[in-house]
Amino acid sequence: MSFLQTFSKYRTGILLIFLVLLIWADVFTGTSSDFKDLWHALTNYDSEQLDQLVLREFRIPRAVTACFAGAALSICGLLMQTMFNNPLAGPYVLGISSGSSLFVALGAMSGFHFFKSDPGNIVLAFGGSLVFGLIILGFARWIRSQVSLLLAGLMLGSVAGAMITALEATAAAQELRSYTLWTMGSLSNTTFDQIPLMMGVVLPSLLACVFMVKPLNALLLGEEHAALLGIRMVRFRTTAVILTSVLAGTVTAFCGPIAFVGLAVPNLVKLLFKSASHSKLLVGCALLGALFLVLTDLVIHWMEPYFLLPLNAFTTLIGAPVVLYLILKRWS
Amino acid sequence: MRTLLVVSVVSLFLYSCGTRHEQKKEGYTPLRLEFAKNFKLDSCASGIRLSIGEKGGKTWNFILSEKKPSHLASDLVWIRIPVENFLTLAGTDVGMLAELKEEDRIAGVGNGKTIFSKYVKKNLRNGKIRDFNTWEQIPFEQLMQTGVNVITYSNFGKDYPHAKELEKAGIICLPILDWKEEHPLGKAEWIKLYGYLTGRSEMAKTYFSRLHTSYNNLKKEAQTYTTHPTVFCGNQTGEFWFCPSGESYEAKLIADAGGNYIYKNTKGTGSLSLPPEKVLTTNKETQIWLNPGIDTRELLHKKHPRSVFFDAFNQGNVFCYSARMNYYWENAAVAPDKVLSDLIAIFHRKNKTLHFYSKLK
Repeated sequence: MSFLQTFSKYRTGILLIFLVLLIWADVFTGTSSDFKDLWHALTNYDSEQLDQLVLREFRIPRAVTACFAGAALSICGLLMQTMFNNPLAGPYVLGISSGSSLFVALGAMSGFHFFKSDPGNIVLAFGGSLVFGLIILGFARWIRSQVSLLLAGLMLGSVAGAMITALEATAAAQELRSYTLWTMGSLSNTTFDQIPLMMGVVLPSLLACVFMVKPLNALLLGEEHAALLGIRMVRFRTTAVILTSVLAGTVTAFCGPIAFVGLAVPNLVKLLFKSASHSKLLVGCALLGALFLVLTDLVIHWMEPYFLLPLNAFTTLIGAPVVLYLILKRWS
Repeated sequence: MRTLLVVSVVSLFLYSCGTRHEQKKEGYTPLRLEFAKNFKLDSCASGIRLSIGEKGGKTWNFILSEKKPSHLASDLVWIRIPVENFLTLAGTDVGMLAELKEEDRIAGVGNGKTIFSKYVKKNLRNGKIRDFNTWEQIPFEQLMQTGVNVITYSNFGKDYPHAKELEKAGIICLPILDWKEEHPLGKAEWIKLYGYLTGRSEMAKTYFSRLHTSYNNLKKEAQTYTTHPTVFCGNQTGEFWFCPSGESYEAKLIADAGGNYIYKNTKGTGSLSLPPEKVLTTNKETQIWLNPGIDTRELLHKKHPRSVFFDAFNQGNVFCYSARMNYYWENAAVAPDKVLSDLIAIFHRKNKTLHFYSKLK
């Protein structure tokens, strides 16, 4: 049996094993810690022990954030792509991530200290994605064409971009620098204590996506057929946009805007899984999205002695060729 | 084709003769600069030649004189001195002009909110100084209305937008590279340039000479202390922890104040970007934390929850100039002796009033 045949038979299991191995490598690469330290860091933490400190304050939060952010963004991308029947749709393209960025920029350049702190960023990013998500939803009520809605999302992103540029022109150097670095994305801002908060928002939202499987599968036949099958399109769209806003907003709040994951991973999953069933695609997206960001983090660790690679630089390096491939494939 | 070749060779020959002749005729005499590396002043028949630029990089050449020279080489831009109206976008320029008592030559600022100078603030309120609210491109009409003659701006590798067009209208864009100086006194020596620009060259020289003596006396005082506390700087922004490199202006100040900067052996004059994890493991027991960019412990903890793992934070040895950020950016460049005095007091626990720094409470 060839690797591909084996993979397609046991793909979920194989991805899960890879994910566990990568998490293990990500947590321990470049440290002198062992499993005992990890166990102590989780159960009997002593911040005076450097090994435990590194694991608890940096490695564990980074690996967990990578898993949840990767899974959340990939599932957001899948929802958007199915909803708009376009493989190039995603929270980035529809301006939902731009909404988060705009609100965070407004906060960073405002005089309020709260909005410059991490909790402030969380509130702003979440608020921004929700507001922009609701605007998209408003458009969706009036615009019936999926392509037009996609264009409306792009325009919304452009408006947010222009407003950010205008803010940047008047911002103080320190604020500008902080904001510019935030836009590069980071997995290291999340602390151990923030993990429950992130999981508390992301996990129920991911589980809620399971209830979207039926309408998502029906939508593959077209909106009219889906409606004939009893899918209430307005309710479905509203739920999908709210879920996307919650997931993308939470990830953006903790990590900054992460490029291309939401766009590239669902397409890779479709190629690997060769299935249109959203029950499989959702699981695939969650696993491959997590795997992709954990691998990214691992590569960043490996590169550290030579140069520091911003998260978005790496995700773009991987994601952009995928997008190009999809465009070329469509043309051919 | 042959004619074209002959014409080109002859033109090239005539041009090179002309340039050589011009330089010989000018007879440049270098004016003494002791520490500054990124600008040069030469006296010549037409006035003072000013060259701004770092070694091996782009250079901007100007002639400073009261009257426009009859012959001006093509690579030189004339600045009429004393300059009547400055648009100050560099930050340190306000402090330098204030030290020379020439603040009344400021006609406009980039962003009034970032200004500390009481004089400038007062005149922003009464409309004598214009607040352009941006460091980016300012509309030409607004510049003309304000009567700006010279725009001083920090050049971070990008020229001021439409500098050539502005030059044709008599508005000269002067790149300020004081931020690239490696020695604190090199940064302060830029006051001599402002001295020539405002007709206060003697005052600037006297000021610098006094500053030099004061700095050296403080440095000697620091050398008498036997303890050298360990020091680290900066904070985490995004994925990285930013702090000054080992050959930077800040590292030099720490060394001169008798501090043992953890990254003193690193190369470069700019800033280091380090993985936060490495910074924590290296500096867990470091004694003093400088410049986290925040002025209270509570806020520092809120913004950087991992601060509590640094001994310096727990023992209350975190110092920053953030409480008066604008005051620092405006005046520290022209008064490195005061910065040094602050650092000596911090490192050697002297009960002295601090000029720029304060302990995070």
